[in-house]
Amino acid sequence: MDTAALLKSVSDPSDFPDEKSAPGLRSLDHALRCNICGEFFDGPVTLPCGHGFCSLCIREHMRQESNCPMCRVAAPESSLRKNIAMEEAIAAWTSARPLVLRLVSDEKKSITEREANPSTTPSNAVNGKKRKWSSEGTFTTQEAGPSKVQKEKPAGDSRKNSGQSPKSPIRVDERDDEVEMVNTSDIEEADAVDPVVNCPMCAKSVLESRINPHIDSGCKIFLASKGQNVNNWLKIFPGRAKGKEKQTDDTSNDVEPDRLPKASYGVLKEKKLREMLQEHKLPTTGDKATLIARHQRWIMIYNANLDRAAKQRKTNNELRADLARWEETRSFKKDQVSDGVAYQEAHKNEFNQMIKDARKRLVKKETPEKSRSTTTHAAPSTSGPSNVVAGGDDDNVADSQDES
Amino acid sequence: MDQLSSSLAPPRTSHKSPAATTPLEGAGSVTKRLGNELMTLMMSSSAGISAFPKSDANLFEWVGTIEGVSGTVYSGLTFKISITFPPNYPYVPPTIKFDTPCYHPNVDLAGNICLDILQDKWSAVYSVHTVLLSLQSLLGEPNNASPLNTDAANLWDSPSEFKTELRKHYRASTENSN
Repeated sequence: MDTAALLKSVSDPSDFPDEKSAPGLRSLDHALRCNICGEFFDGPVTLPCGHGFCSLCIREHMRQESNCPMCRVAAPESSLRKNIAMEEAIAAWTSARPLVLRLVSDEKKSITEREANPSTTPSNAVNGKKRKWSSEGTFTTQEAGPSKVQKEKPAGDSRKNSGQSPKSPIRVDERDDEVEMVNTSDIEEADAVDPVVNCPMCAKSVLESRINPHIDSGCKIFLASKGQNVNNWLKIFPGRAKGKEKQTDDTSNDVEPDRLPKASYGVLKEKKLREMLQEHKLPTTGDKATLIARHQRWIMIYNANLDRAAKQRKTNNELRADLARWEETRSFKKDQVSDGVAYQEAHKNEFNQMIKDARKRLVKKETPEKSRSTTTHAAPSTSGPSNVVAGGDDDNVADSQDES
Repeated sequence: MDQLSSSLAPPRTSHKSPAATTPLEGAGSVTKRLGNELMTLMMSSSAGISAFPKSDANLFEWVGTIEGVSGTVYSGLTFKISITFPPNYPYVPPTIKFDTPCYHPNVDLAGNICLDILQDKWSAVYSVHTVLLSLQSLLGEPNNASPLNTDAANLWDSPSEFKTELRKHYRASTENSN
């Protein structure tokens, strides 16, 4: 794919005219996009600070740092809450977008036609006419516009609502460093005997006294969460006793499938890793690093998938296909170590060229300062002045690969 | 000698190439994001900055230009920079170097830049556009507390001398820019 084709395929807020001629459209289109990937939010989630991202984008970011990329306020992965209203707004906007674009360009055309035919309008009223036209024109677009904007507003409300899920009563407007405190103290009030804490690995609620065996078990045992809370509430509201089948399919709305816990890979044996992969019907080939990367990625895309609306979710098989595609893109590492001799043979010319270049530079380096600066200038295609020959050689490896 | 260096070459390549020479198919989402960024750059009307992929074949290597802001010692000078995107961009910052020699407290003689947002302060929400703007303002407002080029840092407070030194180092890349 060349650059021009890529640019054509990119949808972007600048598809709309600027703020003057189509007020709000660009910023609306921008407001519905993730700041990490630049696309419309896919499985939008909100952080405690209020900023939102695609679920997968932010989870990828949080592998490195647990904070908000916008404001750097600390935010653990367990604090992510999905933003249902935002997702609905995006679904509506993406279906309305082509129409709005067409209306906008139609309007633009008619404006330019009017301007090209001033005979129909008194010359001193051109400005007034234009304004009238655009207000008329935007009237049609506004019909599509405000309905989206209104939809967007509840998004703010739902952030607050979704922030208060029973599992962890974090309020969005809470300062971040207070969150942990608020969190535990609230729960302590509810259950003073044995406080429930959120497991740092799987983010599920566990009795504090059981947290260590829970983590040791790979986050499988001693889950305090639903069962216990439900039982507590049933004591108060016995009428609502509903035998919920946990095994019901993804499609049923009231039972959310559980998120997968993260694993502490450092303590896991390769065999255990393979078992864990097998559990999810994932390939078990490759060395330990590959297994870990695969498992990590799987957990990430699986959990991110749960942040999509139930209808938009991919099936586990689709996720497995995604994972396979992802692995393909990073498999180029393997090609290079596979056969050294054949590689040498195939790239003989390149290597010879590199050696020549390196020698040339070695000579240059020995010549005085002044002549060096002019000679490097004469060859701007190489990677600039290199003080160390070895380093320069390395760069050159990269360069000649580019050319090939 | 030939034998020796060519047998050394493959492992070095494998070490280097994940970052340096990722083909287009490196990752679909990265290409998409880069396309988005290119679009933003082309549509935005920020004065004195621009960037574009070096070739159609490899979206991961860009060239950019930064013009010195008027009112600073760099006024009227144009600097070419090279931008290399890692395969896990934007979670990892791009590598940016000055191709045009730039006499500046935070730029060394090889063109390496010391700027926090290109290292530990990088964020996935930054883009080429924001980085170029930061570099442009870095030209006029260096961070003399952590200089890469101490001579330049020491000279900064005497603008006329700094300017002479700057002109001495500066070479407009005539054959490449137009």
